[in-house]
Amino acid sequence: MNRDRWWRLQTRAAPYLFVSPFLVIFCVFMLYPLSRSLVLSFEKTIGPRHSAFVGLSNYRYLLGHDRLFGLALLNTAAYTVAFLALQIPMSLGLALLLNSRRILFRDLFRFSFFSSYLVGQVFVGVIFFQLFGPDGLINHAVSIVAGHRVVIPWLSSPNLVLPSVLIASLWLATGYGMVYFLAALQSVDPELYEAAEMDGAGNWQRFVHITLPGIRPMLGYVVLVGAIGGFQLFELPFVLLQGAGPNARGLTVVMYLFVMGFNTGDLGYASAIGWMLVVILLALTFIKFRFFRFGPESGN
Amino acid sequence: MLAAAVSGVAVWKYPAPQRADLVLWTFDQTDARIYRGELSGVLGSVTPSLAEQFERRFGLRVRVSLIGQMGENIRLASAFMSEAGAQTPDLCEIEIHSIGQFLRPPIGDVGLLPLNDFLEKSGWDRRIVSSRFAPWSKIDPLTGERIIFGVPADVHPVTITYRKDLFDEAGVDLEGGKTWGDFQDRCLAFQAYWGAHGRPDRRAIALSTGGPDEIVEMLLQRHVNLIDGNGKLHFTDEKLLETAIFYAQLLAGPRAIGADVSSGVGWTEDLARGNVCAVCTPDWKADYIREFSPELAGKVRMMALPRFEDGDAPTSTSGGTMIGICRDCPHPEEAWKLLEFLYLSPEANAARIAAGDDVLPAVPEYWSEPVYHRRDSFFCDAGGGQDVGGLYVQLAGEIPERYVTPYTFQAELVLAAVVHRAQDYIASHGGTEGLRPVCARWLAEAQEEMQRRIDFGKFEP
Amino acid sequence: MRRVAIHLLLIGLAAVAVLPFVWLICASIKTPEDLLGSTLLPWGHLDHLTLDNFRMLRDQPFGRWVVNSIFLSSLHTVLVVTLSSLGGFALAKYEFAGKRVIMVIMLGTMLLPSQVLVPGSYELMYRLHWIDSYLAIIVPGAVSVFGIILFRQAMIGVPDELLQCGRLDGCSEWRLWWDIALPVVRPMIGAYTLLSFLAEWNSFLWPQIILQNEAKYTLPIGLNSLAGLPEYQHNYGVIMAATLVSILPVAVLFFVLQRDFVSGLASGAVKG
Repeated sequence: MNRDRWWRLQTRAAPYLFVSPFLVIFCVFMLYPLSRSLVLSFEKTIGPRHSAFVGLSNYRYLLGHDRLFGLALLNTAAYTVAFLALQIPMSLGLALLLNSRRILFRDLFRFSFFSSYLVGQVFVGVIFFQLFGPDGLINHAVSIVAGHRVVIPWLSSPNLVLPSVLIASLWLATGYGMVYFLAALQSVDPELYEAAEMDGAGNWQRFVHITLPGIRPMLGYVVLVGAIGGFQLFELPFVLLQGAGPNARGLTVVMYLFVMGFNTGDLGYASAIGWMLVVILLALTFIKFRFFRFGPESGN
Repeated sequence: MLAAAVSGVAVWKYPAPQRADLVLWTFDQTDARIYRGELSGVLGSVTPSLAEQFERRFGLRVRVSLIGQMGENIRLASAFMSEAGAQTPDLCEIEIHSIGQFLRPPIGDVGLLPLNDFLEKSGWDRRIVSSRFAPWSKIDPLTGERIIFGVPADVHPVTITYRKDLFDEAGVDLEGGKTWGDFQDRCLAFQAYWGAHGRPDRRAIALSTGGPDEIVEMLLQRHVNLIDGNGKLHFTDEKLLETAIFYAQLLAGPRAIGADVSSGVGWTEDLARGNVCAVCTPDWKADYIREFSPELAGKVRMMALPRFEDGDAPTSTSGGTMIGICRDCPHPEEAWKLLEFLYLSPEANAARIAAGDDVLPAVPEYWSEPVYHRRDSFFCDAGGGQDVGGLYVQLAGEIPERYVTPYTFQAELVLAAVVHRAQDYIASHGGTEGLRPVCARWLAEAQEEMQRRIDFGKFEP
Repeated sequence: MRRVAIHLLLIGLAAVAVLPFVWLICASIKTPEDLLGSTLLPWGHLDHLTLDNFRMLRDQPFGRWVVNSIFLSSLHTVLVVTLSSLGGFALAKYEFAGKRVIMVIMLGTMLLPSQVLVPGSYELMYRLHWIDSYLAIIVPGAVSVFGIILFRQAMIGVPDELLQCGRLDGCSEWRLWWDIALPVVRPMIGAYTLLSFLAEWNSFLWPQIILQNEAKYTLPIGLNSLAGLPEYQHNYGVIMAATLVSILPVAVLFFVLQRDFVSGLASGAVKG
């Protein structure tokens, strides 16, 4: 009898016990700092022991007058769009190439494409800083193709900042996207392909009618992760360009947040930038949910 | 999990750091080594370390923490911002690019202790180059008094180092010209010679197309601070407009003589290869040539900066470091003793020299040390080696004042963007004709934007 | 014929992908003089190649940084995988009060740039006296919203009948998690282990803010502080050697978990 009650109790208490360590840490170390930063974003902070409530003033300046924020937003959006436009086809292409079981050394190929993702953004910045040098590997390769010595000022010309950061980040992330697509391709039912083949469908038709719908949720996921990552870009350009780069063309939203918070010392304003970013990302996610019908609830 | 356990034991076994009476944070590796005495082979060694000497003399234990510059800034900012008695060190070294943010609050709320009283009592206020207090101080808007928050480590006068061998070969006497205009003419002759002798890509001088470093140095020469000590903006000054246009046409159009160099210390390699043949060199930068491009020995020479007009300084200043005491330090008297010992004492100067650090200190009485006056065969001169230190010492007396506000470096970036636009204009129009009114408009816009930013950043409780 | 073409194409692409690594290895065994003189290797005098760069790492507390990084990353991984799978299990297989609210809040925070948290978190760490302590890195890092959602997604696929059978057999809820749910999502654990190890291994901003003592540095911070020194900016072979050593452990880990990783991703986050 007693044992029975204990049994019921543990069944009922179990979910709470299971989530409680997570929940406690989550509340203390995420929700609390988060709410602090929300409060901060309505304050003007300065130096020790002083902050004043300023209502929406931070947001008003941010949206109405701050040209640097506009530039940061523009840079970040341009980067994100360009990154996705290049990464998705490249990753998907690689995944399709590798998907066939008849490829020799598949694991090795997969590893060589994916391995660059193991290198953190900071390390990538350190490596590519050298590769982009006037006589670095990349200019060397360009010179071989061009047939004479070419010195492209990758990191010091404003117009080349975006391409430089893109090259480095594509090297970092293409293999990563490929692995996700590969996983999705392997879960597409092979019988569908066989049926299509019998119907006489060509490669392209099979791709459009079977592969794409089959990997659509994964496509949505990779796009979403890429977009979030793009808008949160910070460490790679920060190390690669050693700051915002020429004409601040490498300034990203998060870098601007960091600079305003920890160089200018206005944590309130920095928090406001952070919350603007949250709004942007929420909007992006919302759009994505509308178009791709994928979400954590979809597993039900 | 195994890895966690094994490495956990290893981490656990680390000795805990000792408690100390005074804690100093620094971002500068060389300084940290000099204070703590851990000098690697490259630099030679100092025994006993400055910290040890100080402990013996005053009986106070010192801990020097070396922290990455970014980390130090973030931590100081957060500590200054939290309530009462935060985890601040007693003293800290701060670099010139970082000081602005700490000077943003009203004077009574700056996280650093005003040092005016200490400086006056000890007499050091008269023994340190007074223009070097400028970056580390804030002018009280009520009394007009300059409140000093840091003691400068250095003066950092700027010279030009150039490839004497290549200029001689081209038959150009670079030092003959006294103004920047003369300088440009000579550089054009130099480039014309090399254009005809197989190096059309060779540029006379390293100047940044997108960055503010050299144009800011030129403006300081002319005693123009983008934002002065009173927080006033100077984008619309006549001199600034003139300098910006002059600088832009050094980099674009038919009379261009400048080019970008590799980032980091790669510029010494550019100098060695003759991609650029002259570089603006503050004293800390000149050392890099010797260190990283030893093959340039005997091929380079140093000169004072040309001027724009009479009244300009023949030098400028670039970079800098200070040491300050945190306001929350419980025993500022003792902290001041350490500050004096590490920055101003003869022992400190001797230790720096012994460690191979020959950056000119901010205390003129040490400038007579022989190490700042020896003929250096690395730099060529008729009498077997140029007295480079002597040149720096001579220029150090004419250092222009440089102010740093929380907005100074942003203002410099804004200026660099205007100058870059001016270069594009010159490149597409083939010259500077018609640029003046356009550039003036850009600068007025820049000033307006910066002013709005500064007004927004003001704090009225 | 087509197979050959595809293989050739793959080899070409792989070469491009791996080239920076090749360059990295070359740079780490060159002398400072050869660094600028040759792009990959100084073919003229291969006898100049040297391991000096690796030896120079011994002058730095580099070994200590490696141990610190291994410690933090592995402890982080163990904690985050345990807590995420527990939480994910609860969210997937139980109905309880507040579940919806938790889900919504978590989803919201997933989009948050972590930098927004920095000011508030620092203040909190200060109050807890956790500055310069690994606690400040381990404890907040022990939860991952991404992880818990990942596990929830995967564990939804655990058949309810299996759990009911377990209950009838007298298993406690704890045992259900350990004996039934976890084995089902095993491949995903592999994938997630790798991802979280990697995240901690490469994490930069927060440790940089928290850790004050050089001896407690992790690899990215230590490396970045080395890279800032003029003497190493010139002789960057040392930095490249250090980078190489920093990448190796994760490369080994990935190679071991490679199969799990791919199938784990398929079973995990993004079931259609």
